[in-house]
Amino acid sequence: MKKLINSPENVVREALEGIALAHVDRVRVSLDPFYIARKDAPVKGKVAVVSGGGSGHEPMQGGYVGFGGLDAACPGHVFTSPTPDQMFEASKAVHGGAGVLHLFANYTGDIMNFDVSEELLREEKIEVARVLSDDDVAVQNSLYTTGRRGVALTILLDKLVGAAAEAGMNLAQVKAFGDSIRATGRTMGMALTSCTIPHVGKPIFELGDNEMEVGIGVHGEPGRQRLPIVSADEITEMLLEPVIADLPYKSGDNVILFVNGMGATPLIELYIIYRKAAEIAAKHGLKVVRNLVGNYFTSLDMAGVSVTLLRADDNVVKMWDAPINTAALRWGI
Amino acid sequence: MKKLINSPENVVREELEGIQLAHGDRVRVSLDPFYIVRKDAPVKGKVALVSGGGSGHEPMHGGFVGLGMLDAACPGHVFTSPSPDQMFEAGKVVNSGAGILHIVKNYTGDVMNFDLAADMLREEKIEVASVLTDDDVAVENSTWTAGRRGVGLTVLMEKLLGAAAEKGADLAHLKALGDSIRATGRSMGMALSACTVPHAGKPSFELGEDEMEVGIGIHGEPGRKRVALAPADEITEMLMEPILSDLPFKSGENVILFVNGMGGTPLIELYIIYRKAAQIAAKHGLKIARNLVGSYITSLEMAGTSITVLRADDNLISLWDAPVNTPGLRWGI
Repeated sequence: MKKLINSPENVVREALEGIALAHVDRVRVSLDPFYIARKDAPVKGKVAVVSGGGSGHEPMQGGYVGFGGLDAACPGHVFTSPTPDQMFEASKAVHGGAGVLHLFANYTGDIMNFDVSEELLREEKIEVARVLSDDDVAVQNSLYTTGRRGVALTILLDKLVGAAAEAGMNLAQVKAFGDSIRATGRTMGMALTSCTIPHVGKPIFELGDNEMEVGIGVHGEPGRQRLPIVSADEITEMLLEPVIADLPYKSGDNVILFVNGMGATPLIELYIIYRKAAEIAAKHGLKVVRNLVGNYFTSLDMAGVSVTLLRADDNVVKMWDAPINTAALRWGI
Repeated sequence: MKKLINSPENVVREELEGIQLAHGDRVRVSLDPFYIVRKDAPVKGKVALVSGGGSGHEPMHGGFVGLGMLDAACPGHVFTSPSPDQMFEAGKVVNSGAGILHIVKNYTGDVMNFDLAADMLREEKIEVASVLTDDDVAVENSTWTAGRRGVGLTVLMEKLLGAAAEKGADLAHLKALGDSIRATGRSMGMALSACTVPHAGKPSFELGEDEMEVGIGIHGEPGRKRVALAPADEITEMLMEPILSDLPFKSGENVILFVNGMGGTPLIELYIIYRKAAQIAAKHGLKIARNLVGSYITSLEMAGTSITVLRADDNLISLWDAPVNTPGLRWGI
């Protein structure tokens, strides 16, 4: 295992210390329990948006904490759900009197732990609502989920729901907006290589020199099929056609197109994928009104890509364009 | 070789097509010859900043074209210098009459081809000056350079000079500012793994399972030493201490600290490096006025990191904070 770490057990704590040192202008980091909160939290009168999930997907979620994004993020250990006390403490720290929205990806462990934290928060008379992402069209149930897995749509949710909360929507409105995004976003991913969890020390699955896994999850969960490597254009078709057919997206729809790297895929390759994805979208009559290209929801050092589409009406576009100031996404401010 | 590409010979062209499709709101791409220019170029009365170099270092340089940074970037093939006609044509397109500043990393091929382009532009009565980066303290001469290699400082140089040009600085002033940045910035890098150039098809060098290369160049050029893998904190010391002693940076100084990923290194690891780098800077009495953490000057999918320290007076900090709107770096707008 080749990693820039000191010891597997300290990876998350030391990364959090680094985030605290690098982004002290924007965030506060708690090391007991682990969470990252907006420096100016609680923001009075604003719905507080709190996310969380296993580490190893950076910049998700901690990189999206800040103005116009999340109020707090709760990182578990690598590929491990955060515990209820993290969401409980973080939510209390950022609650500005307008309720808390929990926003996270559909994994059984995450749901269970967010459930417990929500019971604890309600005992404190804090109102809590929830938006899930379950956008991965590759498989129905999976290793760690009942239902579909939540993957890259989570990033778009963080941005859009964050903007809606910043714009002053109340908890019910923010939840309804989040649910509408959940209903109209779809994703599929693939991997060229496995990744290595620090405390495991070896790749979590094996792929031959000429193989790829299509429909992979963000923890290396099996996908739809293991196949010989093909060209970038063919790979893009294998991902985007099932995404488009699933909703389905229809000719004339405005969409946000998001090409995401899995962590170790160079940007030069992501643009080659974007090129073909934009061509396929155009062929289907979709109008790409906004886009995002980069490594935003990763699986440690996995090489691979995912493609996400989200239907985008004028309101979604307006929320997308709204100012955001986080470590990983920033514009307008 | 596992890559998301269609064919090695089309990598750069197809990437550029992807950039045009993704960022058509900000840039225009020419495919013959290859260059990327600001969509609103030429910007009347502003000195035009033109950079370039081999591809494979994305987002550098094409990702830094836009308001507050470069006017044009000229990508060569992977790890290959761009040819003079690229800088000549791009220079003519972005020149608004206030002259052109070339920002060139110190590699023999790049220096020669930018020189030729500058001569051709001068024949057209266009004024051209040039700023070099040669910030890598690891080695004095190297495989592809006379003198030191230009590495991570180039990203900071493009941001700072871009801001100064946007504020109306003239060519002589920009050249002087660039030279002062060159004189006060230092970098050093290391690699855990090699990278594979698409048309070569195999790793550009071999590293054992327990080895790392300290002082690596951004094309996998040999560094200072090949040693056994060490903890992240020790690696950070091996990079920071030679940087600090080289200038030398002195107690009480304000600096910009830049921790860069080589392409295949997850962000979680870069924050572990940043943590220790900030501690070492503090121990030396340096005040980190601004920072940057992420993969901005890469070597394809190489795993590794580099650290850059730049002395930062109030003027540089104000230039750093000035608005920038490029695909690779954006804030304030």
